[in-house]
Amino acid sequence: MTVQQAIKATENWYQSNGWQVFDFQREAWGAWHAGQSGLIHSPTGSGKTLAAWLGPVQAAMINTASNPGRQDELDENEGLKVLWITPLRALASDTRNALESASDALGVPLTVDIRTGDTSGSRRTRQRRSPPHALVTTPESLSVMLSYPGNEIGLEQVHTIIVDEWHELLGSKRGVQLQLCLARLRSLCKTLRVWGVSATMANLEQASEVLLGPGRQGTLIRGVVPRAIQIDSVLPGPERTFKWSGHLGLQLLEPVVRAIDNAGTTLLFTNTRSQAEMWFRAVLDSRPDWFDRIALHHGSLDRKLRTDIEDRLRDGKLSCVICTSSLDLGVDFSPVDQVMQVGSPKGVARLLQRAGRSGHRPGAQSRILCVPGNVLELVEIAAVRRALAQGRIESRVPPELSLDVLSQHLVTIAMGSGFIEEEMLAEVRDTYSFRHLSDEQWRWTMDFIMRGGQALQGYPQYHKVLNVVGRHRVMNEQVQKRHRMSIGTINSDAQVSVAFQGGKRLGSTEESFIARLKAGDTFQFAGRNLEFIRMKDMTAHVRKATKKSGVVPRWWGTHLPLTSELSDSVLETLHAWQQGQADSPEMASVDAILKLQQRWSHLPGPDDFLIERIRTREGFSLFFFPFAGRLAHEGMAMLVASRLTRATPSTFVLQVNDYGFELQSPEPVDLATDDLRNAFSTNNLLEDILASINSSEITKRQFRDIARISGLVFDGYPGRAKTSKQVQASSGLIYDVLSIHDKDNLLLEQAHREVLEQQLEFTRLQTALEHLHRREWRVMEPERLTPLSFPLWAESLNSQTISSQSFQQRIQGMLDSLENASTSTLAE
Amino acid sequence: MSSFESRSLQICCHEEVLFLHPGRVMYWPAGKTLFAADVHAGKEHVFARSGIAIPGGVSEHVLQLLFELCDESGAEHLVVLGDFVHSTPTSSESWLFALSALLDERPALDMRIITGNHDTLRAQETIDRRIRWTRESEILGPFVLRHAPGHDERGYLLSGHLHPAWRFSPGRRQGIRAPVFWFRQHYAVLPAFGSFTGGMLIEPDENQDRLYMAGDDCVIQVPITPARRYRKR
Repeated sequence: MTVQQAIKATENWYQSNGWQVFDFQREAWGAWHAGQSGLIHSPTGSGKTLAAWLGPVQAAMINTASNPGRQDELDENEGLKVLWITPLRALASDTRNALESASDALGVPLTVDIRTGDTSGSRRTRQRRSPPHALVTTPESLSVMLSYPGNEIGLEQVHTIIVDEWHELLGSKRGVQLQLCLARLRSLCKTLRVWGVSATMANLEQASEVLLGPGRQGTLIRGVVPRAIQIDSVLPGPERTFKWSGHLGLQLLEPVVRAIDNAGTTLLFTNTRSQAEMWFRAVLDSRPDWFDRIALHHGSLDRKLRTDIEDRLRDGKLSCVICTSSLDLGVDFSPVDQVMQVGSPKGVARLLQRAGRSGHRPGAQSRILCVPGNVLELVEIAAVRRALAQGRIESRVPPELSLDVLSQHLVTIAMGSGFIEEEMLAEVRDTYSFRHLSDEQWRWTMDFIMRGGQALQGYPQYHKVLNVVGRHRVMNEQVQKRHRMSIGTINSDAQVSVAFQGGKRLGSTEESFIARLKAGDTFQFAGRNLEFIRMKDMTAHVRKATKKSGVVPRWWGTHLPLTSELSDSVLETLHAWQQGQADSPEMASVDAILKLQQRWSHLPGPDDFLIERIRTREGFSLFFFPFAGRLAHEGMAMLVASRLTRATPSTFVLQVNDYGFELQSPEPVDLATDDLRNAFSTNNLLEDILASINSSEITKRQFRDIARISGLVFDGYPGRAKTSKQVQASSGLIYDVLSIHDKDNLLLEQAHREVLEQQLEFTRLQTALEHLHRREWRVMEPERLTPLSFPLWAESLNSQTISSQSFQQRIQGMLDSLENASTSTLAE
Repeated sequence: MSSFESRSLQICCHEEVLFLHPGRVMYWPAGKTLFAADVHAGKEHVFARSGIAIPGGVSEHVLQLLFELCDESGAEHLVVLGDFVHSTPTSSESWLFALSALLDERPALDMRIITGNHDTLRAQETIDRRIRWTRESEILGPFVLRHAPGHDERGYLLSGHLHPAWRFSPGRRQGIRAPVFWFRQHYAVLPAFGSFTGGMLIEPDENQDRLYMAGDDCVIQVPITPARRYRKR
């Protein structure tokens, strides 16, 4: 059988199902047979899976046909041939079913198996004895396989690696981990094709180079042209325009419930898990009769609950699922009739992906209904539409030189086959993220894993990696065990299970939330009202509560910044409105409020920079509106505050959102515009910002991940939390100790670098600062809070403090304000 | 007034004058005694033994500070209220030698440790023999000294063990978290002295307790406002 015949057979199978082969699928199969590697990009649900999978299946078809009767013996099909990498282990079984049913239908019954953190020991043994033809796995599990001598499953037989949803991994450290594993496989396997499967993004060529290794330009295959997308909004009535300018409330609940009622099935996306919990409760409260037709789905719920909900959605038993990004991905997810987005869309690509969940029928239009949380989010919705019309979409930028991931990977490989230093260095430099790794950084990392850096030099018995006759290996079994448990780069805070007394597990939440609860307190979780009974062995025992509670756990790591593409588009949209050129329903409904902003203060556009000075109840506030996204604002706020406090001893409380930031001071701030200009200066930018973030919360937060990934802190064995307690220390403490006693530790430097690039988007911040100096500065002094400043003022979570005052002055200030408050209360 | 006293907060407790120092120690001038709790010496070595790279020298630094505070206060007695060590040290750990050297320089100083839950018998045998150990509790003037806090009929109890910390936040957005000296009706809890130790948020009684917060430059009494245990969103 020839390749042509195999493709013909595939097309026949398509026809018998009444499907049509897309050109890009044919192109992808051809490229695979030609031995090429590359990237297939196409919107969700357009046949990407079959485009990537059927090449290898056709090859197996040809092999079987040319060796009839020898199927059970050793032949070309024997051993592991295809690795399918998926970003979410929750997707693994759906993926496996999809792959297996396709190959079955084509008459080549290939075994496809799964290997994730959930795979049982007996199943792993079976896989070792008779490897499947294809294996669906995650980056972490691939790493774990490489940590065993002989890698368990015969990875050197693999001829094809397919990385699904590559856009999800690309911009994260998980992607870096995968790059290193791929480099390993490139040296392990003789002939290897690597294919990425991805949604649309701006930097496709870079994405392909990151996947294949520096300097390798793969074949880019463009999938079907994206369907037209219709974006609509739930509009508030004119009577509530100002009232809800600050709050992300449930005021639009009624129209949302009506929209759910009018559609067959709805996915209602929120930006955070807390919001999902709140909306679920609110919808249910207003329509109690829907209790068995709506469901809640987010990443902290127990896997069983989630799978159950996914099954019921697929079977058409649910009319609405309220969810977070947990349902952004998914393979054979039957399309729903309607997709809704609550709160800011945050980015163009993100809204596009979510909209793609609706109307999968070929030719059908995707439609998304947006539910704004405040006035400016209405502007954002109009801005997304504008950006889409202009074809602007975001890039995903891969992290570089993550030495924590590198240290972890080197220990992994030392545990597996072991490595020879020069070969390994060459292999590591053959990844995109480490292509510029310096000799010094390499030496430091080797020193860190071999001698614990400066710290463990005096203790040869504690060294992790040893040089055994030229090959680097890990000999200590304790180290091996611990390392396998902590492989991975997903940060998790100490998680506490939430379970009923009878044992039924509901999910997990952060320890810090549970720690604040007392027996008898009620809270809302998994869509239920629960009463906290006690905490035992990392499990919070609960029962159903009789009284209602508004308390919803908050989870970390849920704030995405507005992308620059979108924030630029917001400013342009505002400008267009001022020119009378914005005629969308959203802009019409915010007309009154934008006019109010104009009258009380000033409405910024792309060419000016608005600053408002306002006296509030708590003190004196400066509001700045650079429109550079939450992360860059955080950096800017810290920079400006620390520069201002340097001039005079003072204390500022910082607050940021996607449009601007607030510096609040208990005392009047007497500053001329020139002083402010200096505080925004780009001179000494890097030094000043490093100084301002040095001991800040944000750096310690970032260091927490680095410390865990590089093995500086160890989360403990599951279920054995107590025994390892002696070596548990918060990464915050380790950070402090290292900054005093081991200043040159490169992991500290990495924490700073990552805070700069990832947490504060330094490049964006720098560009934004340069732009600000070219804009016209408008310093306004409105009498009261304006529509733009009110949301910042109302936000009171996660504020940071920057102070040049001593502990004594700060406490004294707080005591004074306490006194003032009580005097004024008495006076009333 | 010595520089130690001028940096400290002077309080009165059961008719005794006490100086609370921002270095997280307490001086009792009438008994010429300096109190510290929860030093956790050798903690970094416990980490190192498990292959976790914490730099050495942390404990030496902590002990150096402790003895310097002793000199500054003019104390003749140094009492550690338990958990002087983090775990049984191996005999080669460098801070053991530093401890002996610090004691050599102060031949007149009397150092006592009230045994805490981390102070194993083997640890007591390993470290410098000039240090005297008290197994359970002892009476010192009007005070009872014990590691774990609680009620003791024999007198007002001075203790450690909890690593108490408090978040003082009188208004929206502002707040400061720091270790505290926690004075209750029957006992006082000292903050942890060791630099490589965390703090535990306490739940003080608004009407009866007194809290003294230790900042980097001073100790200040703070009012106990009802804690907002969680925020509504």
